[in-house]
Amino acid sequence: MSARGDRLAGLAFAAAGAALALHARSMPVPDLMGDVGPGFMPMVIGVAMAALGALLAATARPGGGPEPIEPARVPVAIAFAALALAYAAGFAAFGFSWPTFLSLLAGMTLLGRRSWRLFALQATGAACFVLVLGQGLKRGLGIPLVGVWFG
Amino acid sequence: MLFEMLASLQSILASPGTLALLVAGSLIGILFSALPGLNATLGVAVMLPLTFSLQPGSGIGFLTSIYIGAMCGGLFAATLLRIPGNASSIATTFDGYPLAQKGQPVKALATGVWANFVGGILGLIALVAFAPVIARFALAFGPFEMTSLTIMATMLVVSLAQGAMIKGLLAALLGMACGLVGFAPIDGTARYTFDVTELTGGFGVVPVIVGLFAIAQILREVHRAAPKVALDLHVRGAGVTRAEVRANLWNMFRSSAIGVWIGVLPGIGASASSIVAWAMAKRASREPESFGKGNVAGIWASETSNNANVGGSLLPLLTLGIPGDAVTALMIAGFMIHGLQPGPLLFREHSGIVADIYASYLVSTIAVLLFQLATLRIFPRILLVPHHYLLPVMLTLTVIGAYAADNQTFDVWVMFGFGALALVLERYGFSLAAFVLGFLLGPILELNLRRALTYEDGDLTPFLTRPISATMLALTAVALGFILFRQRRGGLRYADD
Repeated sequence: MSARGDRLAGLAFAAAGAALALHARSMPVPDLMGDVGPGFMPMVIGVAMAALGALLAATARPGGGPEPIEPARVPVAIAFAALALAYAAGFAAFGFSWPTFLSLLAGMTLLGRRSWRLFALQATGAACFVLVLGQGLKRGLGIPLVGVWFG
Repeated sequence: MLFEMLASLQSILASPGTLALLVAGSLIGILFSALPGLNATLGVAVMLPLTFSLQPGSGIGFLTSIYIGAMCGGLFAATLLRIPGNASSIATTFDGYPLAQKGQPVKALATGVWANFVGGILGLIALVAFAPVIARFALAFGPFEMTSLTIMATMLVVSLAQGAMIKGLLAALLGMACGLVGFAPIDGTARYTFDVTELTGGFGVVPVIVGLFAIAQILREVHRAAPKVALDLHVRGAGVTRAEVRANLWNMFRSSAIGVWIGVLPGIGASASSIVAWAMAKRASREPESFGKGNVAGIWASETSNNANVGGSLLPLLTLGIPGDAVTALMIAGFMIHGLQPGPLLFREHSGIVADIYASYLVSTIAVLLFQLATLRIFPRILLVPHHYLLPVMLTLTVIGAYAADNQTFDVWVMFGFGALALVLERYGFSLAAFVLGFLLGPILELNLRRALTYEDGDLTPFLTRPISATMLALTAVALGFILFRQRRGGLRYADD
């Protein structure tokens, strides 16, 4: 990891630790004998994180460096991450089957080769997968999924 | 008890129905742990009503076989896809997945399968031979000892970061900070929930683990473009060599002992035991730098430990009637269905049922071994599936897994959040193992620390005057001192973990 990366990470930890410790001060003080209260652990963790973060930032030295990012794949990765978030939103709003079917189809189209014939095959495969998985999870394992086809 | 177990084993083998039931239980367990979100607890809960109609020994034996199958089943997804099917297989991803990616998935799986078997058998031996002794010793563990133990376990994993120990500590602290979210122990104060109802129970273990390992891996694979994996599916014999077994004998015993011991202690769980065992194996190794890159010793450590953990967690259940985790708590219900109460009287009044449980444990361990050996060369072909099919399916399975753990869609967002966090942490060289251990052990540490201080009116000296607690703290201090001393002498390089 580069010295700059370590410095940035150290500062981020120091800031997060300080915020944690500050927030811990607002927690109630217990009236039980001996109990340190709900704010004690966050305070200890926050202070330790802030101190160690600062130490990391101060003593950062160059190392091996992270795995290089392939610029050509970044748009695909971003699109796939967006697809994953859209799938999660669809899952929350409409349940299992349709969002899963659409995300599978979109994912395969995004990552693989594209042709109308392949698209039709992938759509059929995705529909079968969603149908079998949905029925298996809902009827077989009793998981209360909503929006399951023929559920 | 050994002779009673052998007699019970003979009667199981003579009864095809009972044998089939135990084999089915093992396979159900494997199925329930293959997907994240489905786990041994859910498997036992779903199958519990079926035991109404069974004989007590067969019914509880059936639940035991699900537990054992579930503990072993996480191996495949953890090794081939880096998706820990259950929390106990987290440490298996550290070396199993890199070895599979090097084109040796059969080798990785075979090691895990045999490690499952060895861990299961050593856990059973501990259960049969040492149950009363270990249970009595475990009772001496109060909040002071539990606090010291969690500190020792966390520091052990953190110390593995060697030159990057500060980063290891920071990762563990961040994990602990994430474990703070939700109601505080003892007084129930809501912390860092930001008025979000779903956060009052804290972050679920399943979405956090799946996010850290699976989501991060899926995104990394998308970014990396499909690598060409040349699979070596023609490993000779049972997949492990005698030399490997000989070289890992002590590793197996040590990891099993860790698994049994952590299983005996309530509330810690198999996930922590496998990470600690992996950490110990790395520490003891002559080539620690190869851990996390496909060293078979790491797989031996993780899988023997989590399977031996089953024997450990059954131990306080059977001898004292104390459940060590959620699965054994459900198994108490299995006993109660048949009007039985686990505990010392069970051994005196229903020793036949105890023998049936032991025999079921043995049969299930063997059934899982045979099933996994038979499928050893089939499942690795999943790595040959093109990425544009595999990754969207993996995404679907992780979303369902995160949802199924508590049936709430909020957990799906939590999973993605932790996936993003894992990408950042790994990119900047922070150990995910330390983070996970901090997350899992932080709440246990806080609960026991607060209990200890409340019992002793805020006095800290019992940490040093109680022998077990003092010993563990002294060992931690000595180990850390040794590492710092070696670092100062330049014996350790500034290394990535």
